[in-house]
Amino acid sequence: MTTPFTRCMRAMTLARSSARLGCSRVIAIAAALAASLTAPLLAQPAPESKVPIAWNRYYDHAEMTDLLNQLVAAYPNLLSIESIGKSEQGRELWMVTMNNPMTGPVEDKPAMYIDGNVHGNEVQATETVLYSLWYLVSAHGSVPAITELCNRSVFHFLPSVNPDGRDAWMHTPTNPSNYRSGLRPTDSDGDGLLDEDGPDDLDGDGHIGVMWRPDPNGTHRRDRDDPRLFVRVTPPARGDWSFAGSEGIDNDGDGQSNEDGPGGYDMNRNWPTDWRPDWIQGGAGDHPFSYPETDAVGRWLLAHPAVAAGQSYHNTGGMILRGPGASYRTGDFPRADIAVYDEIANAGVEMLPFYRSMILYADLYTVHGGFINWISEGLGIVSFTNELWTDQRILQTGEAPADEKARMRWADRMLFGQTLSEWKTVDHPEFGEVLVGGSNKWASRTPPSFMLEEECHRNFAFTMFHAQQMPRLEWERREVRKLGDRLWEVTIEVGNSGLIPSRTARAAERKIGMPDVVTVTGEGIRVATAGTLGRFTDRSMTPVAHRPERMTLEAGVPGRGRVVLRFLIEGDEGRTMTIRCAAEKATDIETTVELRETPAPSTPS
Amino acid sequence: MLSALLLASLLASAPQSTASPAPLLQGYLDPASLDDRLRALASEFPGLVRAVNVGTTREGRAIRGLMLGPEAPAPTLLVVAGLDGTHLLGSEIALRIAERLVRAEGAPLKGSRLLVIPRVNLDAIDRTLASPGAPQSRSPRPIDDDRDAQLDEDPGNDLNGDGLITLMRQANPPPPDDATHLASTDDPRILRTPDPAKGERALYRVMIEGVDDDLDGLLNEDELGGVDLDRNFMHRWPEHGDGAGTHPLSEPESLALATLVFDHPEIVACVVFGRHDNLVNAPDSRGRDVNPRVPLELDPADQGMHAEIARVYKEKTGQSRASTIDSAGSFASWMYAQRGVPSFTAAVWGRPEAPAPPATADQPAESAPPAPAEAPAAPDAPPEAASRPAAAGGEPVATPPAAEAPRPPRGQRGQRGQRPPGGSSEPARPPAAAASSDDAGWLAYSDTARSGAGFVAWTPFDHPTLGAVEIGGFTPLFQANPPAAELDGLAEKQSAFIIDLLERLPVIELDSPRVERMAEGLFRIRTALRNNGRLPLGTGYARANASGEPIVVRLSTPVDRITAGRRIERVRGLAPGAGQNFEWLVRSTAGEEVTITVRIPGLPERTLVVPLEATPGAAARPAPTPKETLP
Repeated sequence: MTTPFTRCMRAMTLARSSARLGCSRVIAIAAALAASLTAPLLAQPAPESKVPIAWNRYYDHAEMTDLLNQLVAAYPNLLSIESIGKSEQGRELWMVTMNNPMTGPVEDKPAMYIDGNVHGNEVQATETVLYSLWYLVSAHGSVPAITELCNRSVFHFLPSVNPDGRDAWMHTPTNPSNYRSGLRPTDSDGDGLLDEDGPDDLDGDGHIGVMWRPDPNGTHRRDRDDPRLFVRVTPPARGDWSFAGSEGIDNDGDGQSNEDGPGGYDMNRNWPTDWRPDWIQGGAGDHPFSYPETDAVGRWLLAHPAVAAGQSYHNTGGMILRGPGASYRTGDFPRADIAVYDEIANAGVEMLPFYRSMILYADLYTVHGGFINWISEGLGIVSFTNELWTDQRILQTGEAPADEKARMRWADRMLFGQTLSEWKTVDHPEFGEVLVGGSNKWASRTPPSFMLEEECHRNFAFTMFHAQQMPRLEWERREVRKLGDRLWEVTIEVGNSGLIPSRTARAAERKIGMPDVVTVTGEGIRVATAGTLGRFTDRSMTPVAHRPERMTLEAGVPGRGRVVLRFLIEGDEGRTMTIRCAAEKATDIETTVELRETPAPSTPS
Repeated sequence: MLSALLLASLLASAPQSTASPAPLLQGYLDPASLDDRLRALASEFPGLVRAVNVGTTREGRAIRGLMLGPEAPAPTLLVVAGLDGTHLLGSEIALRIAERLVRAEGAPLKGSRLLVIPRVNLDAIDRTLASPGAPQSRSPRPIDDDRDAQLDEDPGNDLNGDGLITLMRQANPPPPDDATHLASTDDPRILRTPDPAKGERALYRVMIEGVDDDLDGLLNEDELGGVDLDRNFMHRWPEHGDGAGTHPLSEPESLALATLVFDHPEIVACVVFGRHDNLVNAPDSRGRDVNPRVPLELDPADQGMHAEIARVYKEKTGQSRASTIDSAGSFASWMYAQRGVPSFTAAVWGRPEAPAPPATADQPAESAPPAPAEAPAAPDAPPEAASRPAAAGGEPVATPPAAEAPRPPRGQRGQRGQRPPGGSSEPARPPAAAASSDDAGWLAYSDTARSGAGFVAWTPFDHPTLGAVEIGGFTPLFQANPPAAELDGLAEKQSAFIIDLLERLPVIELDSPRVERMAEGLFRIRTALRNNGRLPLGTGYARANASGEPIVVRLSTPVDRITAGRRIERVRGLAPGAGQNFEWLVRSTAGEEVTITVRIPGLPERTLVVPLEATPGAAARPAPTPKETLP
């Protein structure tokens, strides 16, 4: 539906873009005036979507699939859906691509890849990706900033990399941290058996809690004010309870409980860059891409070199993470790239309450074979992992709850006890009567329903800021000088208004992907030589060694910067040359230059 | 599309190379003949030899192997060859070892098995065999080496129609191209880098024989393919390195080989025939990877084991020289560093001793004496090249890579850091030593023993764009592949080494359990698992890191009746001669039986029934011998 407001905003968009092209500022002002005169109603600053979705709840794989299909059906011109592979258990790995074909095909635009939930238990990552897709497609056409961003970019959304883990976490008894893994049966305890001793829901409440056993020499006692809490006693005082681990029994009779649960590996350690075997990097798998999910994503990314920006959502802790993953790989982040990462992450720190900008190896922990390490250092994609949600958000002090009592107040007063499961007495084969219960799987790593939408929106907005920084090439200054009867000197700038360079310094250093290529064609002309200049006014250039009609720019076009090109052309006056600058991670641009002396530029007043 | 390009580039170089096929590979097996011999062996010895399907190459060729030994899984020695398309020798040897062992040696397997995979990189090998003058080293997956959006469009060209792609040298190249080499005073055929301190000046620019097919100003900078399968594995995988692939196991051939290894944890030792050598040359046992937990080549914990096998290798084969290249990303280095499998690499053949002083270029020895035997075995063989470091005790001599003909950098400015002629991958060699340099040695051997077949004399050629050049240099494949007549003899020696290795494989045995009655209804069971072989089960490095699948020893007694000891014991490898003791106190009634189950990765589970009889030292049942061998 087109409201007068959206019509007017579209007019403004058009006006703005024509102003940028230097055609007419007068039209822009006129359109703005017209808008203020004709707008009868102000739409709410939220998009109206053809697919209403509740953002205060979580969705399993089937529901997510249904929502994706609804969105694609509602916005067929902008969205397409494909399965890039199947999970270990056969669930489809859905990827939705958003592109406006009216502004060019997918291959011609810089792309942002956004995924989530490679750790099955980190569920809100999926809602964040879904929300981003939903918001973009709903706002396209009515919110100019988004329309413009979407018209020049492509977005690839993979809401759940690990749908097996996700569904298991949603539908089977578990706790906040189980089902991080995918679900290929794995021998986690080295006894030759697969997944034979996972946790057990002993009290049948649908959650895996913890167990306390009575113990005359116990380390804990129950709190006098709130008997739901166990407090540590200080020796020589003796408590009457001791911690007995996660809810479960010794299923395989080896004397240990819960030591070989479902899966048992980490698909975020299964990528090629600095991959290390299991005993150095736990959960790494047999080799990079050894799981169907990582294999599918890896092959897809290798086949899509236009991806210039990446985000892989996880939980939890309120972090904006970048590589490197190990101290010995700091050289993978040249200074020019770090400046780009820092500027984007610093914007995130402002947009995301209590999120910190962090470097994996230095500020969190060492990671070998991590996903963003691969796509940053291996593929030259500027990418982050956001660790969604932090418990600094639950009290209004801005600090994490000081103790268990403060957490209990939050759980009681704000969540009405919905994240707690009551202590129940269970007869345990090893310990006798034990207490089973405690916080449930929703208690710590996921935002409560009423805060989910905000978490999604803020992170979505941050990734859109990230996407806005993708390289965007434009022709800038140009000058044609006549050097001889048929000899012309053509100087032209190709600029990049994005913060992200068309090729990261890392990509240029390691020759990742293709260099940017400038080609010159035209009838009746010949490129005698070509080169680059440090400044537009330089008289001497750095010539290319070979094929001046096809220059390569290994370092690409710097972010918020430019490259000055010079061509010496043989041809008759009035002939035209076509210059094309092609980049893997930016929309190619083309211009024609007439062989005719340009007037001297006027001096700025 | 890709295959069309591939075909086009093949056709581009094919007409010349068929002109006069080099006799160098005469007698080497073509793909069909090798397959026939594999099949023949399997059908001739059906109970002993079985065909193994390893996988399929990118172009659809079947990678085949042979399993020698009992039907049931047993500790297995893996022999792999043909990872590189230019090392045809390795495949011939691997096949002959299998044949010799069953036909001539009476299958000395003793309950272990030998898995032989003679050719992995079949797509490249078949091209090399079809066109030996322009051999294909890497898997021919089209790769845009010069990143110009065209695939494999500028390979070397056989300009002089001799069927070989060798080198071109251009005297006094005009700017901006620099001369980098001069002719050696000892033998003008040899090119080497000058020593500026002695007033020497370079004369020649050296290039691969060819033209600038794609007219981009660079010569021969985008040849066919490819991925180096032996740089496509996980240990020290050279990410973004030349020929390393987009990720480890990116190629169907390397993935098939790795999958075979994952599926066969009973592989306990490994030998790879190819461009790598860690037997004649001692591998680095001090260096660490950027990750300090990872050894560069060999962990100090395995130095003794490795040195002993190297000693046996040199003793059995007599090989005293071998080329060697960086092991980063190689199959064998992965087997060692990540699979915990003792892994040995051998080039099989090194530069032979020339029997007489070298003839000059113009007068190659007309009636060459028969191919000489290799230099006598270490430890007494003196190092041949005085310029090379030689440790006390006559350490073998490392020579530069030989599997590929020495080649200059491709493209005008050098794209790949290929080794220029003259072995300048090493620190600049004193010119005085040039006469005894490796190139000189190869030339001497070529002249005296091979009728000059190893070297194409420098001959003037009018190059379409460069003008006057000379074409010549070492014959491709010459330095890695001996005459076919020598193959049987080499295989006999290598077989002796393989037989020795088979005899050393780990033998894991469980001591006959000893049962004691501690009290009424309380028994102590003691036993031990031992490695009575001479090679470790799991390298020292793997054992120190508790990596890999463990041996699992399991007691049938329920956990609540085990008073002491663990119901499941895990043993992460065993050094030769080492044992792991187990002791359990179990509550039971006399006369009851307890079952001990031992599971060694990849091998059938073995169970031992132990009657709880109140007689100290009671024998296990069944116990025909004092020891129960597993299996």
